[in-house]
Amino acid sequence: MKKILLVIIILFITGCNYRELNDIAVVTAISVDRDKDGYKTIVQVINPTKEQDSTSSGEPDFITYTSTGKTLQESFRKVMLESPRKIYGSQMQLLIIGEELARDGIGDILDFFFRDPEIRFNFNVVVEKKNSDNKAIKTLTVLDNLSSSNIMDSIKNASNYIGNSIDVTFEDLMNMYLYDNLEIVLPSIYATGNDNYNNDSNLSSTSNYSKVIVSNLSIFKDDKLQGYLTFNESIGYNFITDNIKDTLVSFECDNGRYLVSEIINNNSDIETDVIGRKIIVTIHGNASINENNCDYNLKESSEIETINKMVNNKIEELVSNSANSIRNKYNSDIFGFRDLFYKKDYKEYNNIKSVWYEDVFNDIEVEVKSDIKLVEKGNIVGGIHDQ
Amino acid sequence: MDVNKIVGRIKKDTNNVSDITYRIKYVNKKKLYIIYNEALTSSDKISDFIMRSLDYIDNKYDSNIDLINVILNEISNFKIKTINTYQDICYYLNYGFTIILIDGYSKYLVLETKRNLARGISTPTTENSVRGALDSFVEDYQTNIGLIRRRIKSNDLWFNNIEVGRYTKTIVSVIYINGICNNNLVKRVNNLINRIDIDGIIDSGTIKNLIQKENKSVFPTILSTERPDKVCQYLLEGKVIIMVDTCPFCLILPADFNDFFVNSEDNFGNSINISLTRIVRYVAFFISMITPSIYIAVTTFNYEMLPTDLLVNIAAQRDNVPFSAFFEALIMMASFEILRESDLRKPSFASSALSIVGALILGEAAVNAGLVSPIMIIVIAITSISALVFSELEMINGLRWYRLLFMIGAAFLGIFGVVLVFIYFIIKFSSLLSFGIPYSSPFSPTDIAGIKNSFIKFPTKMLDKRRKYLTNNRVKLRDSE
Repeated sequence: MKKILLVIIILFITGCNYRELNDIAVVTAISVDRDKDGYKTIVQVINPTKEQDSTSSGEPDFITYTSTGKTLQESFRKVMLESPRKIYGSQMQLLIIGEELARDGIGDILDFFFRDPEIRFNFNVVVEKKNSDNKAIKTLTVLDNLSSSNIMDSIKNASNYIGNSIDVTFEDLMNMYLYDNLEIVLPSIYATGNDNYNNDSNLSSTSNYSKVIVSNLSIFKDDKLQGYLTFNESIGYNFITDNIKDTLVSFECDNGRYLVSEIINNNSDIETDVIGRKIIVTIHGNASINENNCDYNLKESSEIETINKMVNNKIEELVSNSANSIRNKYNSDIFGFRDLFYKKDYKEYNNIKSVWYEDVFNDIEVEVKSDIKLVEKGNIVGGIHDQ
Repeated sequence: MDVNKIVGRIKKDTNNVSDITYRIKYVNKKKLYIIYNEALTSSDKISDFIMRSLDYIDNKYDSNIDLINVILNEISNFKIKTINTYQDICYYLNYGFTIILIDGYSKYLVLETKRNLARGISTPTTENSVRGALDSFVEDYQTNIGLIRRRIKSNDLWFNNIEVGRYTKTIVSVIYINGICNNNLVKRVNNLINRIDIDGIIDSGTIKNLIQKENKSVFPTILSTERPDKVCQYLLEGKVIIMVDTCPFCLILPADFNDFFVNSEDNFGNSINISLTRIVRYVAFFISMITPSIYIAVTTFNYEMLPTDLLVNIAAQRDNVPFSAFFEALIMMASFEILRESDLRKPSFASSALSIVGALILGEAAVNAGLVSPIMIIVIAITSISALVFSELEMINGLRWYRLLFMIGAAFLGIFGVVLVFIYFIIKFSSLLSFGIPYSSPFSPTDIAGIKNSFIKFPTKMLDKRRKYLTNNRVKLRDSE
């Protein structure tokens, strides 16, 4: 009898909240920005009825609740004033940080997301540029009915096929934030278009609609946004940190036309010379010719070797240029050079730790060796111009 | 004892019931009582063999002969026996024998004149198989023994017949193969059956409950079957069969968990294909046990376990349902159990009405009325269908309890509760013994010979050994190559 009583008591003192699915509002994305008296949060909540039954027109796929508060928790609670259901954060996919907040420092908002037991750490984090005015989370899109998955998929595509962006989850962000030797890099987005971004007419237009566009990487120092990289700098950064999966390299030939080459299967090795203050980046990989309007005769192996050399030169130039210009402009060690020094030579690292940004970081020589091999020419052997 | 006194005593003891017939006949001027039970005996046999033979003796012999020996010698009935106690008379009378009492003798004759009260051998009704023998046991003990003997023609097929039941006096037979079967097991089973003192045994199920520790687990530790081929297979494995007269279901023991996943026709199929079927059965077992609880857990506690799209999908379906997920699952479980129970008991002419009611009312209309969500119907359907892969009814019924327990655990504690109940299940499961054999036997005390024929079936050539927990005589197949 005592045993049974004990079991019954245990059953009723459970810590977890029992909530039916009808009582929760599933949050897929949160946008946080600076407001004059604290934070402005926009919460994106799925409308399940619409998701289930696509014929029920009139209702949007999701709704957004905007609220402000001195603290994040406060502003999230204020959503309850408006919403009939409790906000539920476990399914959150995306956190959008506004540019103003990012420039002020993101350290304060990270604590909330890191502390909350409900929220998982595998959602993506992006920075939204100031001129898009927090519209990204509210923008309706045709192919993806949730703006959050639209943004996430766009970023994934950009990092997989273009190379100017990277996929950063909250876990990665916390790693970059908490680890002294790394600085934060986040992808950035901006919304563009007309004022109908949040209603049905955005879904019925084929060209002049509002959209969210993936931009280049944003760069932080400590926890404050310093600025945005250019397209080439982003690609250069990704080459050094070995985040390129696929990218294009094009160069002009003598006749004013272009040759485009695609880099595939690449990986980068980094060697560190602590005493000589030198970083050697070696890029291995394969390349294919995607577009050739130059005068090269691709049937000749010597010509192909010339192109191969040009591709390598181009990459070496791009990567070392971007390494230098990023350091000059922002003086932020987003590459993790300090981490490499720390791992390679701890004694020397201790000596230079305190004067890293003053004396060392900008003086490091970045040497890039590109070892890309041209392996594919596509379906046509030569060029169509020399037939 | 005087013949008339015996007849008087029988009449008194049986309250002179009408089905016992007393016929007086004079043979060589001696008075004979021919007593038989009309309901159990065949009157053709009595008139053909006994009466005619007696008339023949009457004509042929003088009056001063030793009548009892003459009858023993001359009567054309095949099965004849002399007895000398009143108890024996009553015993044989109730077995359908004819008793001949002769005036002046203290020995009495019994002659077999049983009427055939059994039905013919038909196809199995509870254990269907696509390939394999199509005969099944009947209510008659002798026929059943015959079906086994036909398959195992060996002197080592031994029987221990024990009479159980103060009133029914049912033959309970312990069947085993001498030399394969473990003697201790046979002794143990014999002792258990001998110890039974009950007023009646009608079905082998009673024996089953009396010899196994019935309340220890909801899962059966004894297999029951009506297929002679299955019985013979298990006999050759070294198991013991208990057969009860008047019951077409045999008991096979000991049985471990894996035995309920093995079908008799598995032995005839390609091992690669059968392996997949076995895996499906094991998966079905666990699906049937935990699916409703997982559904309850992920829709009331652990939403984070679902992918967002699926969560939204389920949320939309549950939007209009007024009940909690647990109650919803309980309603549907109860309706299905009622439906299944009525389907088992109903005469076949009601089947179409029942299926319309079941499919339309419980499925379609309940969803349209907003009482249950469509996903709940799917969950209950997959759960119930999965349970039906077992031919043993006890297994399905036992599964129900754990399903309910899992649901309660999920309703209170979510996935954590499911895990707790699962731990409880594992503890109960692995502490179970079936006649000294661990219930989890091929897996937990690892037995290679058993594992070869568990969730994966090895080719028949490789199944050359018997289980080490069952027998010491382990070589089953010798490679002839």
